[in-house]
Amino acid sequence: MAVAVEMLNISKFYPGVIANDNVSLSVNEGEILGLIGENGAGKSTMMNMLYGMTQPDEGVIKLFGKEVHIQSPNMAIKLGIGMVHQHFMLMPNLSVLQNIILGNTPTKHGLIDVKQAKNKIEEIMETYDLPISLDEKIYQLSVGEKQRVEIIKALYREAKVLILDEPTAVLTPQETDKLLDVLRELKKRGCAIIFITHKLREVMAITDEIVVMRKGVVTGSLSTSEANTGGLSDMIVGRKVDLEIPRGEYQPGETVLNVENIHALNQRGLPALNGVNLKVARGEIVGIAGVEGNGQAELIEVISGMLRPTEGKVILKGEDVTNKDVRQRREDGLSHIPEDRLGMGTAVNCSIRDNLILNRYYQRPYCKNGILDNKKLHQLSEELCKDFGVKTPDSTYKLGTLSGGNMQKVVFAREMDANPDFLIAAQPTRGVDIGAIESIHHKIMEVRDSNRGVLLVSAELDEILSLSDRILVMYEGEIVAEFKRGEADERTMGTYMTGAKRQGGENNEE
Amino acid sequence: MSIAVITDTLASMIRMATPLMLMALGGLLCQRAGVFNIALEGFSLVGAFAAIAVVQFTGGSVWAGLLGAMVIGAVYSSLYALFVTKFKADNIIASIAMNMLGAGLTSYLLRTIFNVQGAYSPDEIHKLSMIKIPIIKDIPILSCLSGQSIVTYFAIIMVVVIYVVLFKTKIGLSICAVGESEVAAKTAGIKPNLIKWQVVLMSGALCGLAGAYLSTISVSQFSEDMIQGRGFNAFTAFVFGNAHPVFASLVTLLFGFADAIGIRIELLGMNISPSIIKMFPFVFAIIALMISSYTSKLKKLGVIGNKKKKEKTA
Repeated sequence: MAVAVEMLNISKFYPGVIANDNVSLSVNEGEILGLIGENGAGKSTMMNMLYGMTQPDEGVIKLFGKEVHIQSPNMAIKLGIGMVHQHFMLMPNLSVLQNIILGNTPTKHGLIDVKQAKNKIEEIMETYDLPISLDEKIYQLSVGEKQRVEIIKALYREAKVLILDEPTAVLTPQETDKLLDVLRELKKRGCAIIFITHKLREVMAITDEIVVMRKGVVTGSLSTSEANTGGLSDMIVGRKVDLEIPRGEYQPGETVLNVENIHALNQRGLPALNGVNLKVARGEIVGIAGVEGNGQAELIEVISGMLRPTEGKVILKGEDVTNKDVRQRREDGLSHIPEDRLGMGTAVNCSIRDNLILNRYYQRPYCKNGILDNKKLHQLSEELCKDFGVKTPDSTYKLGTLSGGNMQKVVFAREMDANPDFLIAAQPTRGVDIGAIESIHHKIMEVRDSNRGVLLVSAELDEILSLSDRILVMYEGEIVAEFKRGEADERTMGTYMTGAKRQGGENNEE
Repeated sequence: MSIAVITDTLASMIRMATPLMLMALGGLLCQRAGVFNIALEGFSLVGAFAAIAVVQFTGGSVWAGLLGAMVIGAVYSSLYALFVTKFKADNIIASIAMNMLGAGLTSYLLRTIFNVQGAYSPDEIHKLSMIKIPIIKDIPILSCLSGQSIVTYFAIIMVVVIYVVLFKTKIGLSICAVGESEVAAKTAGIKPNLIKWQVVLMSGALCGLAGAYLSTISVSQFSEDMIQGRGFNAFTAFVFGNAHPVFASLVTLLFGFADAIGIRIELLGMNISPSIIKMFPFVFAIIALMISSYTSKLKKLGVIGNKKKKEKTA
């Protein structure tokens, strides 16, 4: 089959950084290329150049054999390149139809020809089995539906080359399967697809060729048939990676957290939690799975003391802390790694040192009579940076200078140094790369193995499955299923996550 | 109150609302494209001055004055467009600069060109005659629509034109897209800066016309600071009107009504201090902003509107 895209010897330099160094890749028509690598490996820069968001400093881009200079997204679109961005490029207050036709609007007598547009879109929806209501506003859609709009948008512009930037990061397993089906259909119709992802399982499932990037260069280029996940992850990180986290024997001790019949309202004043019961024992990791927005965030806020429940009790180490504030709970031995790292977990404009001490700056020996002991603080923060592998020349640097993974290590160091009996870890590896994921997972396991309790909330099913001793599934503010380690796989959990089934409910089949 | 008085008050309301309507239309175009334009005041002041200057130099032609004000208003606003696109200046700071520059520039030019301070009337000015609409002019109350100036009718036509452009055409979709998300618009192949230039220049021209209306049609002179906060009232109007041309215009009519009533009360000698009466439109503006912020808060929380979403999350 004919070559669709060739990017030859591409280099891109930013002040002080080489984003891409002599990178080459190519995709044929009717073929799916998997582009994988850590965050900051240069994958997005490559794709931004192909989509005209930025231009290469060196190298040549060829489309269907012809050399092209893509100056703008507009030009890329005209050349038949479509891109589904990781962060959806949709206008929340405009309708689905308006979003699709934006930038390529059929007109009649100077006005938008809604009928013609609708006909064309409906044809696409039918061909690829991508149903969606065109008159709804984007903000009314679910994440999966939004992505569908993005794909229809690209097809509407008759894209022959489709770039997907981490399309499955936000999808449930069922939605992911659906997406992969759509991609197979596109492939059958001769579309060339570039698929960027962190999830090796998907790469293995759908791609034909794989290109691995690290630190701006290609570290591996091979056929999927020759690849295996272990080898790929070593290529991604550049060293041997433990995909399996070693864990001690499961010996749950006394209950450290007991949540009884919690009801709570969300910010809009609507019920978010409807009678949640859960227990976490010492020496175990309890994982909470669920599609985001099903009450996980509120549950964490209730346990950590940021949100008052309307009903129910939170018992920490045998003591009722329902009416205690955040600081009291922390002093009682609770640590919390918030899901919103930038907003809740850190103060981006403060130094790394200040961030490392945020939870106990007021305590002795760091503070005497209201005066901070800067010398001690500095000593402590330098030690913590070393212990937790935070890559920075000096802990007085602003936190904002760190990468996502390193920022998360700072949060981790702070929360662990408080020596908690119970740790809440919410989305602990969101947006961090494989190397950092590995070290964070090891740390979480250390907490468990040192006979303390962990509540892990994550949208990554892989993470939940590999770390948890017990898994709870949340749906619409309730816990609808519980599994022991090894009892469940992604697929069965997916059916509970989407509310299709529940244990002990009317749809129970078990 | 007799029908004659009501009609008269309504006619006055429309006259008062005309410049506000033009400014609000310019402002809401910018708002839709994500440019926070509170420089309407400054644009209009420059327009008011330009109109009088052109009238003076063309031997009294108000037509030339109106046209000249639109052109010079647009030229003046291009400075603002440059600030917010090329130099990515903070919209609010740039607006304030444009307002202050407008005040300083006009009083400076008043002195250097016409050698006067405070106010200037052109030597000769051929006022436009008001347009009488047949049939309507004989219907009681509705006759308030007749006998207005050409600018008023132009403003009303512009409400419709801008409505159609915003919601039914390609360029309107691009404007709304840029306002919603610049990056997303860019990836769809739209040039956000080009759109911003267009809307800012358009608002400059509309404000220029509004200023010209005040200096050549309402009165026949330019005086320093003659916009007197109307630009900010227009801003309030389009915010309260949700940047919708029809609703925003209705709000300007409300402000015009407050103005008109104020004048009537003054004329009737009802023993209320004139300064209190002059506050009317501003009090209206504050109430309007309070209501609009309250409703948008409710909307955000999902208490009103978004029916479908509510069902989904409940």
